[in-house]
Order: sequence, then structure tokens, then C-alpha cells
Amino acid sequence: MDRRGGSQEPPLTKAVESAKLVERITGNAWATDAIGNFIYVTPAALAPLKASLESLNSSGWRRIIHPEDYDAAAGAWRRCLKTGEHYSVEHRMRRATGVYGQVRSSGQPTYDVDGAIAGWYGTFIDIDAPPRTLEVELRERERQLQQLIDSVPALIWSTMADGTPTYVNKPFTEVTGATLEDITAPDRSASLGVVHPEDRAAAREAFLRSVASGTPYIQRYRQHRADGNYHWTETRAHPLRDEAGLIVQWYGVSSDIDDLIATQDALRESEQQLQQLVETLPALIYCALPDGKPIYRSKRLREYLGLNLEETDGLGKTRLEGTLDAVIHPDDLVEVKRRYAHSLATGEPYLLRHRLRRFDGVYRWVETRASAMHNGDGEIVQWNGICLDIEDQVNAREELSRAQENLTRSSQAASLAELSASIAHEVNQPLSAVMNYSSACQRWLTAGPPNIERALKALDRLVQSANSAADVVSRIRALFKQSTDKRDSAELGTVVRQARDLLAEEAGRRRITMNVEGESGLRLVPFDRVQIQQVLVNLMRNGMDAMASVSSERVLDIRAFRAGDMVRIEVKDRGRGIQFPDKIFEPFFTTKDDGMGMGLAISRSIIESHGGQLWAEKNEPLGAILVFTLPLDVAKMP
Amino acid sequence: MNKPLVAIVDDDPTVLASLVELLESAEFRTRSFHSGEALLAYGLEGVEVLISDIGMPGADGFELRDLVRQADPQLPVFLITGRHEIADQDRARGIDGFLRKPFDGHALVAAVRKALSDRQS
Repeated sequence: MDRRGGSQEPPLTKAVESAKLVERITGNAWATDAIGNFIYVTPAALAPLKASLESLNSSGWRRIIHPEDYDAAAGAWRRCLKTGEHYSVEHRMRRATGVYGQVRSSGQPTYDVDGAIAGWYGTFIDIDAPPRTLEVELRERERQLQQLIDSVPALIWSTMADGTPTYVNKPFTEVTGATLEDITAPDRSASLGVVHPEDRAAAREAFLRSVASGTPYIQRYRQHRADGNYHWTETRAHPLRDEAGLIVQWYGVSSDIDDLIATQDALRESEQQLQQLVETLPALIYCALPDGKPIYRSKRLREYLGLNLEETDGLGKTRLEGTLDAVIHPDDLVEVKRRYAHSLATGEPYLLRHRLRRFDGVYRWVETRASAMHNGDGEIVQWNGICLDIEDQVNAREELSRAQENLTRSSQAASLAELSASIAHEVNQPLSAVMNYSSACQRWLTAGPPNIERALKALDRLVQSANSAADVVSRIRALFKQSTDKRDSAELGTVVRQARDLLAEEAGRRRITMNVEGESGLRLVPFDRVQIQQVLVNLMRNGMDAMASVSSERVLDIRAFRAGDMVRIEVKDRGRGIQFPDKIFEPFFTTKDDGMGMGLAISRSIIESHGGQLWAEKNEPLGAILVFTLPLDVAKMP
Repeated sequence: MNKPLVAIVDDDPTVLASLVELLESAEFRTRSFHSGEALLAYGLEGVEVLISDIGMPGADGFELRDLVRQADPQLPVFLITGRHEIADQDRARGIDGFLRKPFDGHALVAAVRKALSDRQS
């Protein structure tokens, strides 16, 4: 047997001759020797397999037959070699494209002159499809690719290098309702007919720029939908280049981002609403970094201050310091800075009332509150603050206290009127009895004959009634003599300061300066602090009233100092002085239009009931000094 | 001829006693009461003139006047008060027999006599 074959020139055995005969009919054929080694295979069939006869004879054959079919095919072949039966087996065989195809492989033996098997020849025939060319294979693969592209849930398209549309996938047409023709303009350029008219110009410009420069294209626009609506879409396209780097195609994909955009819109809207809320709240709002650096001011605050965030930068200070220096009232600045520093260091909320400089330079009272915003780990990420203009409230409160003061004064006046009416009634009762008895007495005496007995009796009653009138006066005086259990040992300085505080607001309003000076530790014998305070307030207010119409400096000096066993308290004004120094302490004597003339009379009663004295002196060069004394508790004095 | 009877009401015993003394010195009979209720309990039988204080606990002078006028619309009534502000009140205006304490005793006697003669004529 000649075992040579393959590329060498084989001796033309009977098997090879037969094979070549078959080859002319079927296009391929093979021949083996008696034991099955290939001695010929049609070269055209061998080449695409990238196999040689030798390789087929070693393990190549096995590679060509589908693994699942190999055992059956090999078994049949071995049997035929043994028995000489005709070989005919169907199996899948690998093609040049790598794809397996169904073939029928069949062969039969040749015999030598002795009738022994000399070799085998045969062929294989495609039985599942017409014979495929490379072009057919490519078309198949393209079809599969097409299927792939059409089943991907994305809108895919392609254009030529110049942007002429060449393809849209099935989902593209289904979703947008547009075919390739629909997106192709009459001049073959991309019509962008699926892009919302309002977005089209921008999209075209971007696409043309990408086509011209060869850079990837990305654009968001509203894209037409088959139902007539538009959905927000993000379209990306990349160029495909050949080996020389020249663009041959553009491949694009459009993703529906409508939900994303809707979410973003909702988020933006919610942000805007929040922003609007913050901006329209009738309050001044700001935010700062954990170190206090201001990073946001609401519109109202910007307008209120007339300052933008950056305007206080670059002064060689931090922004916080620059801002505080610019807007906080100088008298409040130290406290504001101290509190800020404390809050920033400890994270404790900030709350302070202070004066804030408005854009027009006017300082107004505000209440500022700020608190820290923490992240999930408990770290401060921001400070949020609110600032309320409370100037009007503060003014209203001053107004209120002024009204209260007025009310107190008028109720004082009312009670004095009430008091005087009561005094009048109390005195009038015995007085009218006195007059009735005197008339009766006169009548008894002038009657004919005179009734001396009744006259004397009436006279006796008259005296009794006159005495009871005197008792009334005594009782009234006693009213001002408070029982001693109301007295305590308060420090005089405290009482004086309280009187000053009571009148501080009024003094400020009337542009009067009050100076209080006194020795410390003046201990009085127990006294009624309310009554003494009333006396002080009364004297101080008289002093203010005395200066109401003077144009010179209005100063009220209150001094308290020791004089022997007494303390001497002076209230000095710089008014017009006292015209009738002797009369002013008489009840119902007044130089004021709205006065009852009782103040100094009652004051003197009070001081005298405390064992002191009250009198008036002349102040030099002008004004009056009202002086009163109270006994010191000498035993307790150092 | 009987002396006319004057009823006097005042819660202040001193004033009440002095009025009794005054009217008796002017030859009137008197009956004194510490309250309006006491007068009404006694009755107006024979009373020809009423003199009453205004400010009293219980029925005050105005109420008492209105009550007795229901029984005797022509009865002369004199109201007296020690509280001047009451005299300025509207309801005290237009009353002839209205006196403020202290008043001239002779003037009261003269006014009572005039009221009695006006009534008789």
C-alpha cells in the first residue's frame, strides 16, 4: 500500500482516481488507503479548514466533526474498514466560518486484483442547506446581528460618515414612529424629524459639529413618540473608523431619560419651592460653614444689610469677622463675638438680641438665633440662622411701659382724688352736725321764751361733733403712719437705685441725665422701703418737671451721705427754683396744672413718720434741692 | 293746730340727732330712722315731709324717694349728701330739695316750711 498522500505527488491509486472522478460531480472528495489513512482530499475543501493531510490523519479529523457526532461517525468508519461495507454517515462538520453544517459523508472500498480492499474513496454532501459561500455566511451573521440589534431595548441608528442616515433599528421605529425615510431629509442629510422643534436647532448644531470634528456626539432633547408625545432622551453617537482612521459610520443610541428628567425636574421644583419659602419668609435667613464663615444670605437679608457675602472679604479678616464688624452695633460687638465663638466651639444654639446695621445706616434691634445642622455621624456640617427685626416690638414695649407709667401716675392721681373726696365726706359729717346744732342753738335762744336748757344741750352736742371732726383729721394723719411691721432693714443704696431705674426710661425720654452717688453701707433703722421709694420717686419726678421747660443742661443729681446720726438724701435739679419754699409742703398747694398738691405734703408725712425731716433749699447757681433725712442704725454702722 | 311731722333718715347717728335737734327747735315734730327700710317698715302715716341722706347702706336716698312718691306723689322730699361728686350726677339735677353737707340749718328749715305751705295752698 502506498501511504503517501497530501501535498506530495501521490501514485494514482485506484481509490484516488475514483475520488477525483467523484470530485468532478460533487465538488469535493477524499481517498484513503486500506486502513483509513487519508491519501487525498480535494485541495479546495482542505484549504478553508486550514488543515493538511497529515493533520487530518493525526487528530484533525476529530476537530472537524462535531464532538457530539464524532463517536458515531468514527465507530461506523471502523466497522466499514473491517467489513468492507459502504460507509454512509450523517454528522455535523465544521466549516471555514466556524459554523457547523449537517453533511452526509459516504464512501466505498476499491479492490485489488486479488479482490482484497486496496483503499477507500468518498465524498461529503451538505444536506441541510444549499452549499454556502463566504458571502452567504456573512449575510447570515449580519442577519443574526440584525436580530440582536432589533431585540436590544434601545433605539439604535447609524449614519454615514457625512451624517446621512443609513439605518434605524426596529425599536427606534416602534418607539418614535419614525422610519429611516422619516429621519432622512430630501438632501439625504439627517432631518432630526423626531427631535422636538424647540430642541432641533441645538441638536442639529451639535450633530454637525461632531460629524465635522469626529468627536463623540451627546445631546439631550425631547424625542417624538409614536403616541404623539415627546420624551426626554439622551442620544450618544460614536464614529467607527477604518484601519486608516477614516470615519466610515456613525453609530448612535438614544436612551429614554424622561423619568430621570421628571425626577430631576421634581427635585429642582422642590428645591425652588424650598428656596422660595426661605426667600419669602418674613425673616432674615443665613447659613454658615462649621467655622462660621457665611455662605448664604436670603434675599431679604441681603437687601436688609445692603451687603453681599463677598463684600466684606479681603479686609485682612475672616468673612465672619468682617461681616460682624460691618453690621453689628459697636456696643454689642464684643458680646456678639463672644457668643458666636462660644456656639461655634461647643455647638450650642446661638441666641442674642442686638442692634444690626441696616443698609441705610440705621441700627435696629434684632433677635438672632442660629443652630447647628448635623450629618449622620453627628458632625456639624452647617449653621443655619434666622434674624428677626424686633425694633418695632422693642419700641412697642417702650411705648407700653410709658403707657403703664402714665397709667400708674393717673391712678395715683385718681387715688388722691378719691382720698380727698373721702376726707371731705369724713369731715363733712361732723361738720354738718356742728352747723345743725349751731342753728338749733340759735333758735332755742331766740325763741320766746328762750329755751336755755335745749340751747345748752345743743351746744354740748355741737362741741362733741366738733371734736369728732378733729378725730377724723387725726385718723387721716394716722393713715400715713404705717405700722412698723412693714419696715425692714434694706440698704438705702438699693432703694435709691431702684427709684432711679424706675425713672430711667422717663429720664431718657425727657433728655435728663441722672447722677446717683452715695456712700456705701448706709444702714438705716428699719423703714418702709415702698414709702421711701415713693418719696424718692416723687422728689425726682418733681425735679424733672422743674427742668421741663429749661433749655440749659438738664441734670438731676441724687446724693446720699452720712450727716451725724442721720443720712442726708438730696435731690438737686437745675430748674427755675422754688417760688414759695414755705408753702410747697401744704396740702393742695400746687404750681402744676395737673397736680393735686398732695405729693410733698404726703412725702413730708412719710418722712416725719420715719423720724426724719423734709425741706427745700436753693441750688446754686440755679434750681432747687429737696433734702430729707432718715435716722441711721448707728449700732449697725461700722 | 298740730305741729307738722317730719320723717328723717340718715345712717350717721350724729347727723341724724343734729337734724332732729334742728327741726325740733323750729317747732316740727320729728320721727328719725337709721335706714330707708326702717322708715318703710314704720309707714308714712302722718308724715308730711321727708328728709333723707343719699349715701346709705340698703335703699339709698334716691330709691327711698321713688318708693314714697309711689304712695304719696305730692310728698315733699329733701335729699342731702356729703359727697359732692354725687351732687353733680345727672339724676340729682332738677331736684329742688337737694342739699350738700354742710348746709345752713336755717335754709333747710325755711325750705321745709315753704314746701308745706306750697302743698297746703
